[in-house]
Amino acid sequence: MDVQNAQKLLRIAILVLVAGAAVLSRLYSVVNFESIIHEFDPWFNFRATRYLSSHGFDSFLNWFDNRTWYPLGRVTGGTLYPGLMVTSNVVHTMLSKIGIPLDIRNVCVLFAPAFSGLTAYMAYLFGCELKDETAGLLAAIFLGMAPGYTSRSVAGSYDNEAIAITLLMTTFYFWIKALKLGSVSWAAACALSYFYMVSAWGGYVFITNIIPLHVFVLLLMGRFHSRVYVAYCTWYALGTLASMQIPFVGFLPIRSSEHMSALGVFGLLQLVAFADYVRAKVLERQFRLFVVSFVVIVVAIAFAALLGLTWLGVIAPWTGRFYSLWDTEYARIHIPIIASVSEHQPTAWPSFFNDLSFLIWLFPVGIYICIQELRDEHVFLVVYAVLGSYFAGVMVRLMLTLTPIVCVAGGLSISSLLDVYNQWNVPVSKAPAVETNAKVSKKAAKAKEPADAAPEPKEVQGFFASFKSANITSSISKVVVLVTFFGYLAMFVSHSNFVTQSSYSSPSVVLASNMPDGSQFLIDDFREAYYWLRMNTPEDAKVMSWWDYGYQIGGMADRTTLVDNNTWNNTHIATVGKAMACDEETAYPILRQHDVDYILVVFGGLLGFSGDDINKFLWMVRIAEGIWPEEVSEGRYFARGQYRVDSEATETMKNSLMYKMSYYRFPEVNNGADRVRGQRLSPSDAPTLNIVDEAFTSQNWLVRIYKVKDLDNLGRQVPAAAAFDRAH
Amino acid sequence: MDVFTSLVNAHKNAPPRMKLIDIFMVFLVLSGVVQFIFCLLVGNFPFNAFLGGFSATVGQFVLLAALRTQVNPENKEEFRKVSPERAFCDFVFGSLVLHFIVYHFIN
Amino acid sequence: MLSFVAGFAVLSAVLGASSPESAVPDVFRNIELQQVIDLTAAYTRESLKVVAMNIGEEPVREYFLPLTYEDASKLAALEAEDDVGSLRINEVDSLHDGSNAYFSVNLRQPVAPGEEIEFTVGRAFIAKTQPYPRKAEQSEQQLLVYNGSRTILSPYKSQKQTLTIKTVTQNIYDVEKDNRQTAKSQQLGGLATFGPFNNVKPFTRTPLTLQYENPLPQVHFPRLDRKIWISHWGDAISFDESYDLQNVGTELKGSFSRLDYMRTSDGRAFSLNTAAVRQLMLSVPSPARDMYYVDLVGNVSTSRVQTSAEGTRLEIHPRYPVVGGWHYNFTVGWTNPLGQFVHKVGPNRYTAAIPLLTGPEDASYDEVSTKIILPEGATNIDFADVYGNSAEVSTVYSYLDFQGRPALDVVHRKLVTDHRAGLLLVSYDYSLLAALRKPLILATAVFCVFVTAFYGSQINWSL
Repeated sequence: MDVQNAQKLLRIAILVLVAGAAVLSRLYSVVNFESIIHEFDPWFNFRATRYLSSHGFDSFLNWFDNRTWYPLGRVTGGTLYPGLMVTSNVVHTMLSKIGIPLDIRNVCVLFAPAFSGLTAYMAYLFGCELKDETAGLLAAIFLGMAPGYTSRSVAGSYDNEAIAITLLMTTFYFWIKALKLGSVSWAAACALSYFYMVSAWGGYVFITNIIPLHVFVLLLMGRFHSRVYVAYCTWYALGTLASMQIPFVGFLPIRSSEHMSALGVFGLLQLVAFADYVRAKVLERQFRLFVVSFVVIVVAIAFAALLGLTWLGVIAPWTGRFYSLWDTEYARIHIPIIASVSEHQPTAWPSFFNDLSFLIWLFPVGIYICIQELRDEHVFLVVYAVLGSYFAGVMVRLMLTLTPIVCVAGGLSISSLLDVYNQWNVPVSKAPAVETNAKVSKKAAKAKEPADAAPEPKEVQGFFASFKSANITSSISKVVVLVTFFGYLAMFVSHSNFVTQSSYSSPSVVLASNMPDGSQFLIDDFREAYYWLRMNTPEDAKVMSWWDYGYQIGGMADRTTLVDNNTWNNTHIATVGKAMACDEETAYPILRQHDVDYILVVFGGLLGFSGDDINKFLWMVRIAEGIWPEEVSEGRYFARGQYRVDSEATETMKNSLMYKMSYYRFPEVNNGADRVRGQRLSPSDAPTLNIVDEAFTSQNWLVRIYKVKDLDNLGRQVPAAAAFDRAH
Repeated sequence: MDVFTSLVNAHKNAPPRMKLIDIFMVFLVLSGVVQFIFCLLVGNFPFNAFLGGFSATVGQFVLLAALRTQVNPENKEEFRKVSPERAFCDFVFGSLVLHFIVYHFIN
Repeated sequence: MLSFVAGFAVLSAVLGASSPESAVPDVFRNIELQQVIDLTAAYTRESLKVVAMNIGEEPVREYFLPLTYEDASKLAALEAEDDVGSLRINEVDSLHDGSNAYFSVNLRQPVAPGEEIEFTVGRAFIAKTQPYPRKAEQSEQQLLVYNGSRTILSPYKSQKQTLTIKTVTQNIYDVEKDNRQTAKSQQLGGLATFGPFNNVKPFTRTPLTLQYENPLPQVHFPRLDRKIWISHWGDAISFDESYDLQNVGTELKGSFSRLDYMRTSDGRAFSLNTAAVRQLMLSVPSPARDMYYVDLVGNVSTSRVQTSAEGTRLEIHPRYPVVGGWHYNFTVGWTNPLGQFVHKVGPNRYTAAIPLLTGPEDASYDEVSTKIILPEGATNIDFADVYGNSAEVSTVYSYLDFQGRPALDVVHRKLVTDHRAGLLLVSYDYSLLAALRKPLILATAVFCVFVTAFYGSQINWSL
């Protein structure tokens, strides 16, 4: 077996092991708990996947869901990104066709780890295009294990990001390949993979803007050539057309500001290509005059048209979600729902290290190397790095988009280091370029080419090649450097593993704590309450709860909800908030109007669970205040500036429905000590409930379900009737 | 105006393949302009039909431009990996994808 | 044969003289009938001891027992035995008249005229007791009502009849006589005796309505789906049982307060809280491995396995206490070694003796559907059970199956815990060739893939 085959075999073995490591490190939650869908959003995706697999693709696209957002319903088929569900369904069907009938739940739970192995492979291909196989392999292992990526792709985290990052890397790989070769088929593949990405994640806007930006920067650098034109225009034409096939996207690519940069660069490229074509055919003087007069005028007209259309409203301005990336205070003032999500908060700097380990200081090194080498594809890396760093700093959730570039840059830097220090058979010889050319001739028919054999001007050696020609003769320095970095790499793996296991593998539907003797104690209250709802309430019962739990109630309890995590209708959420925040007389008509049968609240006072509804109560008040400022006012819930729930709480607080439902009969338990707020309720503070009956409380009082009382037989007001009954 | 005559001369001296592609491209531009004027005059309902048709012309124009640059013997240096046969094959593939999507779009 | 003709003659002679319901030959006189009704379980168990004398002229082999149609529709189990062993007892459809169903006991030897025989008949009924009042608050007691007859229904004249009713607590109230048998207390070990009644005419029924307290949960499974997978390659027989549980005791009216439930769970005071299903003990055939307890939303962690010399018991707790009127649904499963249930009875022929029921103690079932899935390639399938049911054969496609596995579906209705001793027998042929077919097909398929890849990589695909 010669060296080439041995290297190829080794590479394949390494990639298989990387994929295996990526998959295995994400399985901690399945091992520690069980195979269950985590968090909140994945429950909606799971429910949609189940609907798709039982009803078929046509009904799925036309699905009008009347079991959510009662009584409005939701056009689910047209307001979700179907890529994830369709892919799971295809995987599920194919597996059962070849005789492995996996349950759809297991397919969904293990979907993200499986695709993370694929992402690692795509990162390998991407790194190969940028430098060589070493960089590719390192990028693969980094992306496979980095906690920034595993945080959103552990087993059970069945969310859009599971497939989106794979498609992100695939699209970028195809883009770089198309750019380097100038080939229409690679650009068409990039467009198709972009279409797949649009169908999978709302963050496709990132790709929509970064590729035009890359091309624009190349134009500014004066690096226009036909390959750029071929690659970009094919991608834009096919990709934009394909992305309009998704019902949720519709006509946005020509109507909203987020897509205008792609259109602008497309137009600009046509002009520049035309100018370039003309320049080859005419004399210099004529050309300059021509360019100044024609091109500049056209650009000015186009830009004016764009501004005019935006001012007229034909082109929608930047939507709130993306505008808040630019103006970080916007969401807090205007869209409190976006601001209230914990994932949308700015990133604290320790999480950079937590999620990326030592890659965070290799990242600038890698970008520096790119700037030095600066072929077309490295410009892309620089642009991506700048954009990614900005977004990751603005929102914690966008650490995910920074992770691929950091991993690739880290791979580049370490492979450059290895190029210098890992040469053991070097006599002090020149012309390392001869060796690389020899390698090229041996690998004639392979699809992936070593990056340094790409078209480069022959007289400049290139920054990468300069590494190979650096001669370090001292063995001791080589050994020291290699051993040190081997240690860093080992620490990276163990750190990533540790972070994934401890922070990111919790299903959050099941909580685990320890009993005094050290054994594990599972708090399964959520599922207990949802199952009670599922088994003991009528099929068409309507459940009102805060929007956090909507998807879980729909997925596990299978009951109609009023509001859920989609948060598309702010007024409806504010109505629920008002019902929770106001007193019983005001809340009862709202409950009757919406046919509410059961109300579900989460109360952590007995357990010490700090994510309960009383802690979220102020957000309910704020959102309701946004619509009814004269009825609900945040200040009335504070007692002397403090948030109190015991006897010093304000009257408004004590009379609010949420307070009453949370603390009903609580003072008789545990001396009324609320372990989350650290305050104690005395029996004289015990609230009385007039419009609801307690229907069920879970074992640790975490979830409390109340049944709404029916109208009074004698036509009295229900609160008054209940007070009368209690007195007699 | 010198620019214009230079361009026409260049076209006349081009190999027959280039001429064919050039004429096709001019046809597509005209077709696109006609569709746009039609849309302005008659109204843009259904919008996806107009977009489908217009994007078909734009997309085909772009693919042709790409084919033209790849097949042009003057550009051989730049497209080392893409032979003219491969370029044509890519063009056919791209056109198939384009028209498949347009067909789905028009409904 | 002769006795039949004689019996028929007697029948027609007697037809006019006695009451309309006497198609049964009046050849026995009951010397003593002792009935014990056990109301302590989730279903009703009755044990009737018969001492009878042949007052006819011919030896008689059959003794008839009637049941009202209403009782017969709730009958779950029926058996008879004397001091030697069990006797055959079955329903006689030809004797059914307007109001009663008849069962005949086949005695071991014909009873000569003037001889006495003694045997016991055991019966179990489902849903013979109802909660009354139907709904109650959480702190109130669970009171059930038993409707029956003080005198024992028999087609023959009885000299002496006694009836004993056992309940859990001593809180028993006789509605017709409007008296409480004992002081209204919650002491355990309730016993109510009626009789002795002397010289009771045939077919006398005296209504008896008894309201009593039963603080135990009334566990009822409207539906149970069992799947049993037999695998020779894995040397395993896997059970997967899906239970729909309902507490058919007093329904809860009003609110369920977790606080009150937590306070009264020590069992000192009997209320609806004690009548909630908190745990179920399932006896699992041992040695068992890979036990799981799940429901529709995932794993339920509140379970415990207790292995002892008598066997393995799986103690499961429902997610929430199933108070009266509430439903719950769960699935348990485990795996036993194949040799425990499947035996080789000939060259390539195997018989599986599968338990009819392996459920929790003290429960009743409305419908139990069992699906026995045999290995792929099993042929010549025979099925037998005690009731003479036949099984439908269908095909189930599972892991890497090509032609599917044969599956037997059989449905049983009205079962109780006592049926755990029953068996289902399945015989099938399973040759070595059938066993090897699946691995051979798989190996061939993988080989073809590799060969295709090998030749595919030799071809130059470049353009």
